[in-house]
Amino acid sequence: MMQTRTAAIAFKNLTRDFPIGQRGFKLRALEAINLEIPPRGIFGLLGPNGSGKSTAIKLILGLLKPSDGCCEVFGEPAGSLTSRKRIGYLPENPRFHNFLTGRELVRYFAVLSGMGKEAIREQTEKVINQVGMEQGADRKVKTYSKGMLQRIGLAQALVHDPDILVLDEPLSGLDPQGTSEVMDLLKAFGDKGKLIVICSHLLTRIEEVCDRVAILYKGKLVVEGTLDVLLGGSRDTKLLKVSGEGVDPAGLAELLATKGLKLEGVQDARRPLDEWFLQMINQGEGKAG
Amino acid sequence: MRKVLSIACLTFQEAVRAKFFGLLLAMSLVLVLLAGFFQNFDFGGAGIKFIVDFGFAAVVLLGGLLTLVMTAQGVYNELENRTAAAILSKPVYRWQYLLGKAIGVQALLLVFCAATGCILAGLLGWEEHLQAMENTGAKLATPVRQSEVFLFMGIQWLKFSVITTLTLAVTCLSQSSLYAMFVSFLAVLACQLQYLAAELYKGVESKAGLAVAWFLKTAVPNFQAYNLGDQLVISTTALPEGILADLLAYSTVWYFVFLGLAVMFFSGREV
Repeated sequence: MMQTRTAAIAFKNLTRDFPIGQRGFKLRALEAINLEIPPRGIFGLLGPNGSGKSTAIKLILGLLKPSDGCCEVFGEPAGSLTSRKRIGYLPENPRFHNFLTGRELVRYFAVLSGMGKEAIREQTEKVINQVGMEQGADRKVKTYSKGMLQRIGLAQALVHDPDILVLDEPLSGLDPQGTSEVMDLLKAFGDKGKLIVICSHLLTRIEEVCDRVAILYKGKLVVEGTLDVLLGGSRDTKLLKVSGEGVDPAGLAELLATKGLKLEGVQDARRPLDEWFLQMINQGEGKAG
Repeated sequence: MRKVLSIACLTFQEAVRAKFFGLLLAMSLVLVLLAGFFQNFDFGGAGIKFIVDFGFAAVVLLGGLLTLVMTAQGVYNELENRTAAAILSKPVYRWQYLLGKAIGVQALLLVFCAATGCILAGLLGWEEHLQAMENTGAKLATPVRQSEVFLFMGIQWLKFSVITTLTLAVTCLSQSSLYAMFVSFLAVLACQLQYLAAELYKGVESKAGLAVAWFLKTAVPNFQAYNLGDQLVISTTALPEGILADLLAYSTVWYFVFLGLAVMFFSGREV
C-alpha cells in the first residue's frame, strides 16, 4: 500500500448501495473498499461485468455519491470542483453531439473546463495533434469511425491537461487496428508521468500497458498491486523462451557466456493475465460465497 | 456564466435540428395559415377574431407540447448517451448544467413564438387589408393591433419558460423520458386548472377547505394568469395597468422555484 499523502486517488472504506424496488432492499455495488492509487503510471481497474468497476469510476468523478466511506482525489473530496479540474474522463461508448466537428467538440469541452480563450485555442490544437486527429478535426463527429470517436473522446478528456485520465472501457467495440491506435496513445500518455486509470475487462490488451492493477469482484477488492509482483517476473530481466529436447540451463549458461551474458536464473514463463485473473476470480468466489 | 451559455448554445443547436421541433413548427405555421381558410370572412371583425383565437390556441397547445418534449428529451438523451457524464466530469456545477439546458430550450421556444407570431401578424394584416378593401376603404370598427400578437407571444414564452423548469424538475426525478413527459403534462394541467380548484375549496368555507385553497394558491402556479389573448389585438378593453410587470415577476419566481427543485433532485441523482 502507498502512503496516503502520495495517493492520487484514495478509497476509504468506500461503500455504495443501490436501492432495489420499494421495500428498502439494497444491492451493494461496492463494499468497504480501501485502495490507494499512486499519482503516476497506468492503473487497471479490472473485474467481470457487475463487479463494481463503473460504480467506482463514477464515485471518483463525483457522478455518484458514496453510501458510506469516502473517495478522495489528491486529498480533495471526489466530485468537488477542485478535484474535477484535475481529472479527464472518457466514458464507455460515448455518443457526443454529432452535428459538431471534432474541433468544435474539443473546444466545447475546453470551455466547460473553465479555460481562457487563448488557452482554449492552443490546447485544442495541441490535443488534436496528440491524438492524431489533424486530418479529421473539421469533419462532423457523425462521420467518425469508432476509433476516431475514441480518439476525439480522448482529446476532450485531455484538453484541460488533467493529472488523472479516467477511461471507462476504452477498447470497447474497437477493431484490432482501432485497439492498437488507442493502446499506442495510452502508452504515450503513460510515459508523461501522469496517472491513467483504465477500467476494462479486455485483460490481455490491458496487461500490455498497466503497471498496477486492482481486481474487483462482486463489489469487493480481491487483490491490488503491480503486475510484476502479482504475475511474477520483472521488466528489468528478460525472459528467454527456449524450446527443444533436453533444455539444459548449464549448457545455456555456457552459451550465453560466450556472448558476454550471464544467466541470472531459470524460471517458468509469466502466466498470462487472463489466466491469473480467472484464478483470482475463483478465489474471490470462494471469499464472497 | 460562459459555461452555462455554452451548454445553452449546444442545447439550442441540438434541439433546433430535432425533427420533432421542425414538425411542430410546421404544424403551427400551417394551422395559423389555415385559420384564414376555415372562416367565412363576411362578418367583419368576427373573421379576424377567429384567426386570432385559432392562432393563439395553436401556439398555446403546440408550444406547450414542444416545451414538454424538448426539455425531457434534451436531458434524457444526454444521460443515456453518457454525454452528461462527460460534461459533469468537467468542473461544471449541476445547477450550471440544468440552467444551461433550460436556457437552450427557452431559446428554441423564442424561435417558435417569433416565427408563429410573424406569420400570424402577417396574416392578420393581410385580412385587415382585404376587409378594408371590401368595405371600400373604410376602417374596421375594431382595428387590428399586430404588435400585440408579439406581446401575446412574449407572455406565452414566459409561461413556456416556467413549464421548462417544471419539466426539468420532474425529469430529474423520473426514470424515463416518457414518464417525465406524462407527469409534466399532468402538472401543467393542474397549473391550468389551479384557479378552479382554489375557488372550489374556497367555497367549502371549512378550515380544511380554506387550507386546501391556500395550498393550491401558494404551491401551484396559476397558468390562467397568462390567458390574456382576449384582451389583446382586437379587444376594445386595455390590459390592466402593471399586469405585464406582475406577470414577469410571477414567472421569474416560479421559474427559479422549479429550477431550484430540479437542482435539488438532480444533485443526488446518478449520472
